[in-house]
Amino acid sequence: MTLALQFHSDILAPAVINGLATASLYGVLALSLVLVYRINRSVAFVQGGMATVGGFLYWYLTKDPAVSQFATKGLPKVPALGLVVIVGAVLGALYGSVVSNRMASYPRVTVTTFGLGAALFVVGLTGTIWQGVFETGIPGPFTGRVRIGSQQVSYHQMFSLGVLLVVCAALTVVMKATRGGIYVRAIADDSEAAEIVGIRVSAVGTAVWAIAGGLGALAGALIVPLAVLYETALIFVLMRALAAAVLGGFESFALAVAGAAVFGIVESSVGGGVFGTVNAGVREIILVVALLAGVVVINRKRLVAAVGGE
Amino acid sequence: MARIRQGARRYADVLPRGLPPWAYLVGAVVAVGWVRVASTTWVFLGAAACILAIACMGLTILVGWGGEVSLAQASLVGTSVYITGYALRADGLHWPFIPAAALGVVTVVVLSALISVPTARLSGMYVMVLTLGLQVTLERTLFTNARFAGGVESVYTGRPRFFGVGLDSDRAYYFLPFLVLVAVMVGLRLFRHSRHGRALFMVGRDRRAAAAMGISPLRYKLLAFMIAGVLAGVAGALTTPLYRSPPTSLAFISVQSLFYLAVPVTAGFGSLAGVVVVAFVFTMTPHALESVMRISPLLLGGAGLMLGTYAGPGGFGGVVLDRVRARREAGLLAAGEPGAAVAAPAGELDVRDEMTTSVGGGGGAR
Amino acid sequence: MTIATNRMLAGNDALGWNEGQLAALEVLERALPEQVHTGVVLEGTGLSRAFGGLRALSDVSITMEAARTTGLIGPNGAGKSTFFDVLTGFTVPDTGTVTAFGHDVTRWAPWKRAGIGMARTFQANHIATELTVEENLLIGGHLRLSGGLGRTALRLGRAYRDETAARATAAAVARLLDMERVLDVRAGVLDFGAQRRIEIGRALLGPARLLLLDEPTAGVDAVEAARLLGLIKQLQVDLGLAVLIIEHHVRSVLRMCDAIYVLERGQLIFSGSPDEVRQNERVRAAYLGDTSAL
Repeated sequence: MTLALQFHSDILAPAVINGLATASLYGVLALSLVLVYRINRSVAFVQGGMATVGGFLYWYLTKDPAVSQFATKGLPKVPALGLVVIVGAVLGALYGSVVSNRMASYPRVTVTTFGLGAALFVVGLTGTIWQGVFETGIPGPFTGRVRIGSQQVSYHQMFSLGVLLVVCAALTVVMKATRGGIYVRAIADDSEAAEIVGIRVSAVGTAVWAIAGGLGALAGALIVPLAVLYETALIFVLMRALAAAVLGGFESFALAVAGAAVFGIVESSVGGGVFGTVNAGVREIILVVALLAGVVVINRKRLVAAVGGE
Repeated sequence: MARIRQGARRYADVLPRGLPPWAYLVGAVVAVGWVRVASTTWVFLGAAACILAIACMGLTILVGWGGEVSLAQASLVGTSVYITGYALRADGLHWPFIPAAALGVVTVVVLSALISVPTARLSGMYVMVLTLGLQVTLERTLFTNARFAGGVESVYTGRPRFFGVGLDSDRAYYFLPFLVLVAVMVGLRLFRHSRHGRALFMVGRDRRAAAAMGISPLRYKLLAFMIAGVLAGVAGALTTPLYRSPPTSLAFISVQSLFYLAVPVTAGFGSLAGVVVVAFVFTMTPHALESVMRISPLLLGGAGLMLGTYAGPGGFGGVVLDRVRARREAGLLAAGEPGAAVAAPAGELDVRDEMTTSVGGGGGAR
Repeated sequence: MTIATNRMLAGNDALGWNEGQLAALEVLERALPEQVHTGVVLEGTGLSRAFGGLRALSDVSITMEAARTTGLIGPNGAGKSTFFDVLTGFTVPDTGTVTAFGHDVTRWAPWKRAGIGMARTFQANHIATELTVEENLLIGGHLRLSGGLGRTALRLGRAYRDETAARATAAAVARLLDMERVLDVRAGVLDFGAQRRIEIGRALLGPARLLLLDEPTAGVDAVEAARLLGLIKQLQVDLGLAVLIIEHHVRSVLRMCDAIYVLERGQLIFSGSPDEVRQNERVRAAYLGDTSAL
């Protein structure tokens, strides 16, 4: 372990570019976590399952059956990506209608645990259907790469970053400027009061979950071209998305993206040797410390807000 | 003789109410006897199920009693597996089993206690995030370290001997986790009905009320995490000799922590016996179905976790237990009809005449 | 100090118990710590607390006499519960001090305050509904039990004797609350009023010298409320406890209390005897001219 950190500025620029690209991968997932948090103040671990669905489905739909031991479909990639998002949205809506109806009055921790169950179920399902999948080099919807400075950037990375920025902007606008956004805020503040003033809480909840589901599946599909696909791979990604969302204070979409960027850059700088050689374990500890600090800070803020609101 | 009877009375409530003595005899015969007739594969799975049940009881205490959800249990079990293994191996510390196991347990308890410190003031959701953080950290540090997680090339020294009895065969080894499981269950029952068990339970239900009764929620959260740590550690230490060489770390990664959580949630937090049943079902079903279709145990875990939480906070087993208890209580409530003793402490408040109905018993059975 | 003396000191000799309950009362009295009979048991001085921009409490002081029932009234949002939280340690005041039984407890945690005999209840029911009535009561007795993990789990020596004694006391309290027959029933099965009584009983099982009751009759019907208040008063008198009670039902409070404090918008607008409160214009105004309430 190198704890006496050195600084190599010459590899900082590539690390930044690389970090932004990495960040764009779990940024979308982080956005979906923030979205759910904004309506029901809980951490949507279920998004790990949504990402798994998205990743596996994208692989299943696009992989050429001729070179696969599984009966994959080999469909064109862009429509396949669209289909993945739709399936994710439908599953999200399904999940949302369960948690915002019968489980609406359950303690938050119980509902969160239900989400963990759903994620575990999905992981188990993929492990049952496609036993022993271990795929690398799954092509993204856009292939090829371009040189920016000294760094090779793939079209897939640029596409992911674009998706991230568009989704972030769209969610911000919807939440700030539309009636739906106002409903979501009202429900988050006091769902009973929202029900009384005529907001259909369960319908809005289901819709939000549908969007989150679509985003989760999209995130999963965007990640697999740059990762190894196996049964439990995407749960790791959830951890990073969570860190990004926490760093962003769980409230703002833009801050979550910034959190993902900071985190991605730190991660790739540390990993890329900007501070000397640091092993994966230390990187993980840095991740957890960042998470911990974020959690403590948010909690303090939230505590003040909650007590003051009484 | 009188002393024995007195002692028996002192501990009588440890056993579940209403089971006849022959039920225990039958239970004991079945629990021990099936090992003689089943194939070694099943016996091996039985030992694994006992170990799973021990680890999951740690979550029953932490989640069900203490009210905190931990997503780190699998990594704690894994840590103990590898530390114990390292202490045991000839190319490691080459210690005897008991000190090696103790090292594993102590390491895990310390980790579990450490993660409980920042969680003491945080709400449940953040505790989940932080424990998941611990899980991932252990996965990426200890589990990727070849010295501990060893891979196929390192080999354990074999299974322990106790009082001259070797536990080398799978059939013999089964009894070690089985007896530890029984001891853990008895210990937890005793704990649950002690001052500290009640205090922990109250902290899990209502921190403020517990604090008002002189119970420090911080201390009891720490205690809950430590108990969960001890049981994860013991489960890990028992896992080590089950295998010939360090098992793959895939058995202890994040999703496995969800799987561990699924067991007590499915069983319902009111029942330790339920945890054992669910641990056996989850361990053995995929194997039993193997000839028909291969299913991932995670699928069962996921389904159990979803159904368990969907059934309500008490879990699946909670629904069943509720029925049983409600029947007994209906009897008690009926016996407590208004009548004899009526609290009429009216004093200067002139409402004595209104106080002729029952205060305690009569109404209210849901 | 006997029950009879307590009654004499309180100038009250009402006998509301049956014989079994009288015996139970004696059991409980022996189990409780020696009560303080004269002087000030609890004093809050210049207590203020703001949440963000909202001043929930400004410069409120209170002096509670031993062996008396003190009432705390005021309209909704007057800051009664915040005041209670400050007194019991659930909220730290911005300024001011709290002294209980001669200790400056301003910065003590709630569980430490419980140790010197401050026992409180909450507005909504805060009991463990999955536990039996007996277990709920025993949780109140946490501080009177001794022994670490091993001794209590294995039920050895003093830990076992303490537990047995606590069970006897719990049974006595249950008899006083007329809940003896349901000791073995889960609290969640009982009706709301019964659950309220469990909470009061639980507070009694601690080393209680000072009971702080936050709207003990909230959510129960008028009959049950009257019965509960009667029970509380009787226990206070017979055991020589000091009681601070928040109560909405103003008429009952004025009847049962020896001193009354009135809060409005976080400020103490009046304190005095029930008679003085009845006559005070400002208190009447605080209740929106609803003189019938008094």
